[in-house]
Amino acid sequence: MKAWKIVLIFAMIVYGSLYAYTFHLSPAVKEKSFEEWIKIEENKRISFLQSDVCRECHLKVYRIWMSGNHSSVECEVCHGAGAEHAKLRVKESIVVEKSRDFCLICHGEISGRTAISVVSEGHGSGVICTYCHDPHR
Amino acid sequence: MKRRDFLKSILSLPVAFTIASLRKSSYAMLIDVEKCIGCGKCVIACKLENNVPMDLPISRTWIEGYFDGRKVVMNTKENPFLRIKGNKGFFVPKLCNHCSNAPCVNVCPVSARFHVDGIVLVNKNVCIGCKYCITACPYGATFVHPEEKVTDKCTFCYHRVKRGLKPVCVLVCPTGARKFGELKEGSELYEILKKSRFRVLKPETGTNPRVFYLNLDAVVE
Repeated sequence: MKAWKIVLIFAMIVYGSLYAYTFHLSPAVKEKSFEEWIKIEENKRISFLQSDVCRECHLKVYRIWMSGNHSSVECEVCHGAGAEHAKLRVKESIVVEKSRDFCLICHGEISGRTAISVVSEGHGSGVICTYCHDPHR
Repeated sequence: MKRRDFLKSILSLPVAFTIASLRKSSYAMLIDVEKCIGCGKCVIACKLENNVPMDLPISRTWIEGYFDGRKVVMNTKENPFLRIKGNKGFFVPKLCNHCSNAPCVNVCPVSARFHVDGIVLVNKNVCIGCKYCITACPYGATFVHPEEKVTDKCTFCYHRVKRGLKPVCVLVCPTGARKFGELKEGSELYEILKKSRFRVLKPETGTNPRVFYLNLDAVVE
């Protein structure tokens, strides 16, 4: 008789705690958990900035870029993520690629490229593009 | 007359509420397939920004290249399009469509997925990694993050949008093939959509996507 009562009480405690967890306490049902996650999502670190930030230091290059053909292309398209560079302010933290293959990622002659001017293999092959073309202009 | 005005204002209240709810910010993306050149900058930048492993074939956004009916997918650092030459082709950037009637939100057994400003987010503290959403998504836009062991997908760069910045794929697109903005009356996106013919992916699934495509070929699914 006594053992039966203890088992019943124990079962009720287990049932009650599980019920309370699933329907009142678990993060899935607490409406607050959405707001908490939105806060976490908002506070995530950013690694890409915008060209306005680049202007703060590189005003000379920025002005040349603004009047050139690449003005619709943001700085970080070629130079890579800039948040680290804005903090450290050293040359090593930003991408400065001058190789031919790097330019050909966008300007290589492959099918389906109608929006921009492409370069064929024969055009100045073996020569670095920046020797003739200023990428900022 | 006074009574009439009073009744009128009472009647217009629900209308005003509906308009107010529609005016709440709802973000959308517009992709011009004609302008995409398949450079893959968006894929690499997205992976960097959102800490998705660079070398694994999983990505929040990816580019599909169609060459004579053959489909080539770029979802890692390597760009496979640079090797293909001489075929007629085009590129289609793809990402989570942020459906208004999202299947992944509907099937989630722990309610880890929810809508904010028209963006579908995953609560990674709640997600149990059961992968129901992966089977439910008609676009294949969600995947399991190998390090966090929970599902992950495009958030329209929610952390950037709330800071007033553009999503990273829109920022680094050199040709402006992607456009992002609020979808409300008078906005830039709204005006373009009003004037031009656009398509969404898999409209037959009834998901009401928020990613719109211009000049999209019929073979793309």
